[in-house]
Amino acid sequence: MKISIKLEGYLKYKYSSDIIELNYSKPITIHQVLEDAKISSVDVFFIKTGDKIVKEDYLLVKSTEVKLFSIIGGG
Amino acid sequence: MSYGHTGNILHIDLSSRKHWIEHPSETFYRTYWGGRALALYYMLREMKPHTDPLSPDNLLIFAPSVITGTPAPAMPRYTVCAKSPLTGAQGEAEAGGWWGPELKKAGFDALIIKGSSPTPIYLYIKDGKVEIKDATNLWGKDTGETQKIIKKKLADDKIRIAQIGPAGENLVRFANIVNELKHFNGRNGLGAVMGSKKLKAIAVRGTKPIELYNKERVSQITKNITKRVMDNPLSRGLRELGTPAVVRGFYEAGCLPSYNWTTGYFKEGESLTAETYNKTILKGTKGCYACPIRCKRVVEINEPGLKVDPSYGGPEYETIASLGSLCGISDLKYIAKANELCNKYTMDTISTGMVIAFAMQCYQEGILTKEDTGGIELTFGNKEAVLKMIEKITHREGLGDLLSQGSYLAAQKIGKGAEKFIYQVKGQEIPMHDPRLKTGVGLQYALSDYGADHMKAAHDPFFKDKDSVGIKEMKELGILEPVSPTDIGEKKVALFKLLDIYWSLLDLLGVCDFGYVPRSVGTLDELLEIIRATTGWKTTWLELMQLGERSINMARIFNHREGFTSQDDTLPEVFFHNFKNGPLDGQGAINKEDFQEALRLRYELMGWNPDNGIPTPAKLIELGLDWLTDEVKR
Repeated sequence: MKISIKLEGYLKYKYSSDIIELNYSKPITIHQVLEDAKISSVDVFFIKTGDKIVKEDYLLVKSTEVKLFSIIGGG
Repeated sequence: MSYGHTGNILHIDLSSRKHWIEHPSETFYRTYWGGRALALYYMLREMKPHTDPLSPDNLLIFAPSVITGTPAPAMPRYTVCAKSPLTGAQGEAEAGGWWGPELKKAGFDALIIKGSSPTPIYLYIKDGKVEIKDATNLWGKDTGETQKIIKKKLADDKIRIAQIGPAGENLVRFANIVNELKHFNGRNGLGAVMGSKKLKAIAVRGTKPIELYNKERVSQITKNITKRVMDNPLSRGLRELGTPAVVRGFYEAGCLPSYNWTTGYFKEGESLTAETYNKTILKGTKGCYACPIRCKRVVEINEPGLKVDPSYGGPEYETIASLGSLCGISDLKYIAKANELCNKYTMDTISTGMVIAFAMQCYQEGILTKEDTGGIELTFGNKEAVLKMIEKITHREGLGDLLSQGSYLAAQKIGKGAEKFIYQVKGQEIPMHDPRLKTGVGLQYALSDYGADHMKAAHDPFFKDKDSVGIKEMKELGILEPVSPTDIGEKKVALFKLLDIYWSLLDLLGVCDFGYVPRSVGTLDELLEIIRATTGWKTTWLELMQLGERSINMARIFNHREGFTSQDDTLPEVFFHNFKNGPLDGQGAINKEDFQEALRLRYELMGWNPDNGIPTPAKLIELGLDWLTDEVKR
């Protein structure tokens, strides 16, 4: 299955990419996907897949897009 | 020889048209430094309790700090203070731009104005000299016209002008003060205080350099920070996306304030994102004095029937949400137009959006009718209606007159249950960050001495992980352990006590939070070094944090004197309920009892009486505020 990580806000500058794609042969947690993509969760405020806001322990069981939103301060 | 500051504080009495210069001691400067700490010293000593904010007896104080104007990144800001006509509490607002550094170069550390003029005037301050000039021909003019006329009249294009537009003249209770047309002392209605004094503008020009203790050291640190700013993704995000970057995360999560806070789900949110903004209306970016970040947006629209002048900047996140989703508007071009109108009339965009959204909900519920609105179909999503209401509020016509008082007073006058649809703390409309996802922000909304404000502390997500920048880079302040953004327990309360003090310090020193940790790349060590190299004072974080805490306690005492109590430290009821609709539907409610416990603990941590939130005499003595102990013994 193909997992597309879509980077939002300043994350796209930090990782020099808008989208990172990874392939897996079995279900996988978002936590592991982030680790494989070398993305630090420190900068991530929300994780969204489909129309759900999920946590890093969410298990991905089919090809999907995972959106990562950077931390948000005031201003 | 003094470094960083001039040693001169300018007092002006507009009633007698007299001015004089005070030369406080170095001990005074080292105790109060600038900003609201300095301003509150005068407000507490010279203003009687229960002064009418729009009377000549209110003081209007413009206060940079002892480091304002040092050519280091993100230090251009200055504070304006007065008793607020919106809240009746201590009023305070910081602005960036160039005006603060220019006042210092003109020879003054602060400007303290009392009295009022019978006719419109403006002040011209140049290299230590002060003139009161007639402004009859400027009264009623918008800010762009006023700036052009003053610069032409004084034949100097380098003059920096702080001024009010028609909203300030007409005493709209959420009128702002602006410098360089796009840098605002926002919230609190300090523009109305300026209007009540018939003071249209303050033009300043200085040619004297600000003396620095160690210019080379300041220059060296500036180079280091600037290089990192250019390479850092967070700073790049601020430069390329600006504060509108916030929109996407909030709208996709379903926590973008919408339809007068009835939901966080705004299905047209894509049209409000920074990416859409950049593609459709962005013309460029601008920065403040000596700042390499350049986060400010500049927009231009040239369409038949819809033109937006780039001189007035462009909408920030708060404006996009308050004049956009909160009113059910998804057209960025109209939001940009609404922003331009608010800016040229000097009206706070958060409060303007909030009072219009409130009126829209009253209209939807049948509390207001077409007769009340003067024929305007005041429905959510009606973008022309928003523009019309901005005009009506500015000129205080019809329903606009009522709304010009702010949503709290307007709801009381409307009655019929309208008060259910306002969202405020201490009479000030809440900003566009939902505290259900950032509980520390909620604590700050409740405790803020000048009403709900999103710039009262760093936000929770910067402290959520052991590797978060707030944890890694702020250990000197005692910030050691991460806390979840939605936690409201003891660790969160302790963290936000420190952040409140740190933020109060940044505000009173005139330091922009976009320049230093946790929001940006400047470190605590660098900030301390800049302060030392500017002033020559061998200061420490202990002294600086005590300074921030001193200012919080001075504000708390001012409000206590005005009759504010712990009952005013509260949050709107909506935040104790779950989100409705969208991805967060059915989640998020803050537990009310936990929140009350948190407030009580915070009082204790601050050295305040846990039952009533009043500073104890011992705390005041510890902070060198023994001259205020009588205020708490009454």
